[in-house]
Amino acid sequence: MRVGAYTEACNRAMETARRLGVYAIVRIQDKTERAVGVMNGQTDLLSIEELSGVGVQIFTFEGYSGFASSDMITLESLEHLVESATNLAKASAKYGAQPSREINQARPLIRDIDVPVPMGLDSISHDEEERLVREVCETAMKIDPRLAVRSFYRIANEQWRVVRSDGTDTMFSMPRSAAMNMITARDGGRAASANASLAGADASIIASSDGRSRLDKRTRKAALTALALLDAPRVAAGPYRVVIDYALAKGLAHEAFGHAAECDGMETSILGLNGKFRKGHRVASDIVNIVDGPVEGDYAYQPISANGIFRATVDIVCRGQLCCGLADIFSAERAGVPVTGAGRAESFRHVPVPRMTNIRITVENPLPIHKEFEDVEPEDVRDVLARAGLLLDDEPVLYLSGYKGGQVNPAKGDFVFNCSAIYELTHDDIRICQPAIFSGKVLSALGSIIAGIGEPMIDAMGTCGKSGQSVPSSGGGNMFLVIDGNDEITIGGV
Amino acid sequence: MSSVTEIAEALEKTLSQARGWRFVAKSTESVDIGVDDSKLGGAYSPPRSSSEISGNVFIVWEDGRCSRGRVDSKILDRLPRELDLWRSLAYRDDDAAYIWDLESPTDVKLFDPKVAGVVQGDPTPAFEGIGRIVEAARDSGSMVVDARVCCSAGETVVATSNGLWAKYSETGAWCYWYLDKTLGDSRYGRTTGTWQALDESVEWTARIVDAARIPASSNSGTMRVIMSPSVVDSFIGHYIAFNLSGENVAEGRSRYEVRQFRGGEPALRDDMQVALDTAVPMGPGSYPCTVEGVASGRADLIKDGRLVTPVLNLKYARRCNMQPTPLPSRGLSPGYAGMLLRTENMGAAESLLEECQDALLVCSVLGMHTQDPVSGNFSLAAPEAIVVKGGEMLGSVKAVISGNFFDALNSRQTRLSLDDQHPNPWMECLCHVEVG
Repeated sequence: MRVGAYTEACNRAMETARRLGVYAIVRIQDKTERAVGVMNGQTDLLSIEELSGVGVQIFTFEGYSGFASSDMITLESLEHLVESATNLAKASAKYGAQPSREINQARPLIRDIDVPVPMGLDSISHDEEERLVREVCETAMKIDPRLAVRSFYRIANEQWRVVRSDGTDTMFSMPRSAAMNMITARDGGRAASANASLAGADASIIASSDGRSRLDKRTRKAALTALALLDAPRVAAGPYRVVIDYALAKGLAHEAFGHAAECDGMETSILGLNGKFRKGHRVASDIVNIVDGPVEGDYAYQPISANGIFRATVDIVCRGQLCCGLADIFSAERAGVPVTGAGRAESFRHVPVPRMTNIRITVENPLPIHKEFEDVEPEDVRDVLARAGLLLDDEPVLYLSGYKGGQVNPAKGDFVFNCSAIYELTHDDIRICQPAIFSGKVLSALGSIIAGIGEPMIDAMGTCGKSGQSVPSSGGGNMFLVIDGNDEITIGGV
Repeated sequence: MSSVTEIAEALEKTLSQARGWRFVAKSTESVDIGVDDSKLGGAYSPPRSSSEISGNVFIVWEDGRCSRGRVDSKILDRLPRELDLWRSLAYRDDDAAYIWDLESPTDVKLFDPKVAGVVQGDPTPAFEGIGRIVEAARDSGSMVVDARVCCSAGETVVATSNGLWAKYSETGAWCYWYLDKTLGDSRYGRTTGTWQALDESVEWTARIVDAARIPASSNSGTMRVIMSPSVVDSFIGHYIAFNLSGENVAEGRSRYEVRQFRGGEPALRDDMQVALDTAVPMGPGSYPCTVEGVASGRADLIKDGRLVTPVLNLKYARRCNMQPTPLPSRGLSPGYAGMLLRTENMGAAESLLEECQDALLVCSVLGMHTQDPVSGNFSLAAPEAIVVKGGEMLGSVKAVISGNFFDALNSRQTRLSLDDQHPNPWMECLCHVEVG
């Protein structure tokens, strides 16, 4: 791996740390990323980014921590970074900084994980990538002349090396790719937008027939949705029984629940009690499970934490009960859970914090649906609900389609996320409505899940913005989840 | 590490083979001190320092195609190979493929030696600054404090093949506080004064957090909502900046079209102004010239409610057949980047609350980034909306506020008020409120 070239620099850092009497964690990042941007059929971005740098976090004997980073990875820069971080740590001690000694409990790890991908960075040329992305964009534009389309594709091979004073030396790669069409429909002074995306680990998302077919189908669906939204009414605000697709289920799992399970915030999290993770506490009915962990081939795959510890797959909720939190070496003991290797960071410049990789929320014994996700229409969702007796007689069930991001306050348990469109489903009619936020209390939402439809799909792509960083995230759930009406969960609108 | 000047000189020499070029190379050193859960430092918030060189290159080749590339601290080692790489990435973009004529950069002060001293020498003032913020929060009754003080110093060179060589030093200072995991505020500047004398501001945040602790009641329906400057700033960033982006206008992704700017069509109430000013002395979003070499300054984007110009870089200025404008600095909220919303006769911020008979005060919202910027529609959770009656804050309710931001800026019932702490105003307008 490319990060294997920095052994001498790492050794210099460790020697400097020994000389200064501090414990050091060296994090080297080396990323190669190619990107193509096409706007309405015209290429406006072709780029290759080669980024590398190093962050050094040190702990003094007393436990005071300091951090220094640079985009230079040389013997001299590593020596300088260890010294700078040590000076800052010692300065902070004078102002009453909080000591942290947990790193001394970590066990040494020596392991390299370089994940092979069939269609990695070198599999197709940049010219071919540009041709394919232009084709993706032009295909979308042909759907309707009222559409403006921005297509974007990127493929990256990111490698990390984490070296610690206890002898730990790990290297791992994180290949990923993403393609997205951002579609705006305009007509008669009105405008609406919707997105279609596909993520993975390599170029197959645009270069294989399967990937291309899925992306085109998603794009067509998003384009038709944006066009339909031009004349769509708003849904009346209030609590409803709702159906959410698996991308929204990822949003629910990530925003509404996963962040609260991250152990660095357990002292204030709604899933904590006196700083401890509330293991055994019931948060959902016994058909609901929530799992987080790295999945090979996934957009957010990370096999080893940024602290040099194996990333575990964690059952956060088992059959409705809290089971385990997402902890790194610094938060596990205080939260009363095992170390799960949850520390992740955006780049060498950032300090890792516990966060999710791929989180999925699944329901046991889901209702069957015999179509691919891309082929499912609102009528199909309604029919499954009707067959299961879940369609209501006196009010519509709202089907929320397409995830447009979300936000949560883990300390308060408030969450919000948005969709691309809402369909009002009744026995006699299906009506598309403007998107509106889905907001409420985390535990109310989880406790109201009453059914799943279809087998799990876990490739919904996102970006985790915790601590001001931007880290790839992903996940999903059953193709659809059904959440019963609850006064603490509101669909916004007027 | 190579200096920015060394890198710039090497780039100038190497790029001379091309028909036209421009680049920006920037060195940045920074120090960042944080408090999480009232604790200074620790494993997640250790005091931090960083040093880095960044920038970008734009090249127009003899055949008219163009390339973009990155600048970092290793660029000197890679330069011969890098030029071949950049050439291999060339693509045709006729609107983008030109270099701005030589124009004198604006003379604007951006450097505070005291901040540079904190970054490059003694970080004590930053530790003391965060200590004062935490003390002010505790004195105001806050139990859990998150806060940060950051400062940076660096040098930038912007150069073009048409003779521009603008080299300048700048400093940056930033702080924020977030109280009881409920509400926070931030300040951006270029001097150590950015994080000093904040007691009143922190106390004001604490007062709202106090009010948020008390459950109150309110009816759902259409009612007056008072939005804090940070909420208004996020609306401006999400709705106005998006729709005034030259790229979005030219490519049909904005609610506005080029012809509407040319015709000066009305977009907002006739006393509403939106301007971009990037030449304010010591302004956090100020600079001498854009990365493309266009001089910094002030541009009216919407004047007396009528569209004047989108924010245009060189490519989209050519595409729209209009003059380029200054560009807002990346990484800053719109107000701190210089994008300002104003009306005639703006009142004082204090009077908005004091004169308020019945309204909701909204100082934070969840979900702004999930909204559709083109339509202007919004539907946002405000988990701690403060009920204000007779000028008094009575307590909080959980609410969802919804409406259309552009309709609000067109309404005669909307009022803006400015304080001396924030670049953009408070806003009072009618919204639909759903109380949970």
